[in-house]
Amino acid sequence: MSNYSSYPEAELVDLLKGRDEKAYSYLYDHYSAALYGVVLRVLNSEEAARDVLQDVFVKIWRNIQSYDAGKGRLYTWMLNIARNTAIDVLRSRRFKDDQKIRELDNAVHVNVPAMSTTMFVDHVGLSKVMDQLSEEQQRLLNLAYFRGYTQEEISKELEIPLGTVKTRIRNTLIQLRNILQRS
Amino acid sequence: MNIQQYISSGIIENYVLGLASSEEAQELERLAAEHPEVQAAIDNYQASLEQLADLYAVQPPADLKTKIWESLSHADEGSSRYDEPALQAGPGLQEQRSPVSMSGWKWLAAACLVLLIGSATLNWIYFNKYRDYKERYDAMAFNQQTILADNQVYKTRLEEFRQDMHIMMAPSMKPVVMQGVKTHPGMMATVYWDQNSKDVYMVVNNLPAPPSGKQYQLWAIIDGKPVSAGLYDMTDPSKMVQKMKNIQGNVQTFAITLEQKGGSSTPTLDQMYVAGNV
Repeated sequence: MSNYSSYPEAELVDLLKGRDEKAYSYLYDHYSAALYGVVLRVLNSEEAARDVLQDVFVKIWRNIQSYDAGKGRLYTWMLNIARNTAIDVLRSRRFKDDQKIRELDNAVHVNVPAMSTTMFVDHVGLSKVMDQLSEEQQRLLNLAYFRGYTQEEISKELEIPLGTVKTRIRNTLIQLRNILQRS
Repeated sequence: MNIQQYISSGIIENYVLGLASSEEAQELERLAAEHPEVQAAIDNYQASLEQLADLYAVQPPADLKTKIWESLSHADEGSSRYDEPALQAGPGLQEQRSPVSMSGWKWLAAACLVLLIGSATLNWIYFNKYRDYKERYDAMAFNQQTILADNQVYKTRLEEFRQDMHIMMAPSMKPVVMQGVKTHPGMMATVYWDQNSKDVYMVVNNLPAPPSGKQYQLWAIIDGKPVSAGLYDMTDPSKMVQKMKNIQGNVQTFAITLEQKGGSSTPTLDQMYVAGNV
């Protein structure tokens, strides 16, 4: 997926700030899949992910004026909006209640953090990357990035000391970076 | 501070994963602005996470784009649901409005405007009509006043005629026709002398209008001596029959002379116009 094929990012940002319809269409066509993927990965519910993706684009529309290219790329900014919005919904009480009912109905996905690795197993590129991470690294990445756990929560969940969490997260990201650079 | 040590402390990883506290994040952003290697490390990880997101990419349902497009067209209105204090948009956000559809209140405002214009137009039309009718009404009211006043005049005049007629038709009334003398042929006036009351009334049948400063005076010749029977006022045409002085005695002749205004004690005989024997 080439995200920067037709617009230089600075130009795209200017067009978005100017409410250019074509720019938003372009943005949707090129980024919606990645943003939807992240949201879906966090919420594990297509229905909820649809609503959240809509919220994400509205937030992008409403907040594009405050986007500062000096603080990071547009893609990262949008990913953070998508991830944070999805995590907020995940943490909201109503979603938890819905999720409980879902779990009772299915009685399958009891271990919520673990299920996400099985969900996208058909995605060849992803599994190729994930295969190169240890199970613990995958869980770390999942808890920290896709579930919004704090370091303390991760420490409890994985039963490892807080100081170790920091080191292992760092190692996980370095390894992820190396894998992605190789592929 | 040793930057390499800072980079390897794990804070950057926490930051890009969203795990850093806000104090840590602020310090990191400050250091990133000062040290390109810190910024490079951040960029590096963010690029990795972007790549990871590419791998997780799932095409959203096909109909979602239309739905999102629709919600974007309303995104600038009301609802604070999407406002994040940290991301509050500046005033620039308000400058551009959604291009797609008009919101409810705009329709309402447009409808109100149409109604207002309609109402104003009708007001104008009705006001003009009102003014037209008012003018016509005033004209008619004026005409009616005039007619009423005229009617009053005619009524009065008719009453006078009736009284005049009543006087002249009375059985005791003795008419004396005065014909023009030699110097004034064709002239004529008539005296009606009530034999009971001895009241004298006079009607001008044909006398020229007197010159200014002059007036006709009626005389009764009793036993050869002229006695003034009063002045006749020619200035009011409505008073055809005028009551003169009461005349007692044995009158042989009535005559009219033209005298100075106000009358004379003796008649100017060469100014006699008409005369008639009883």
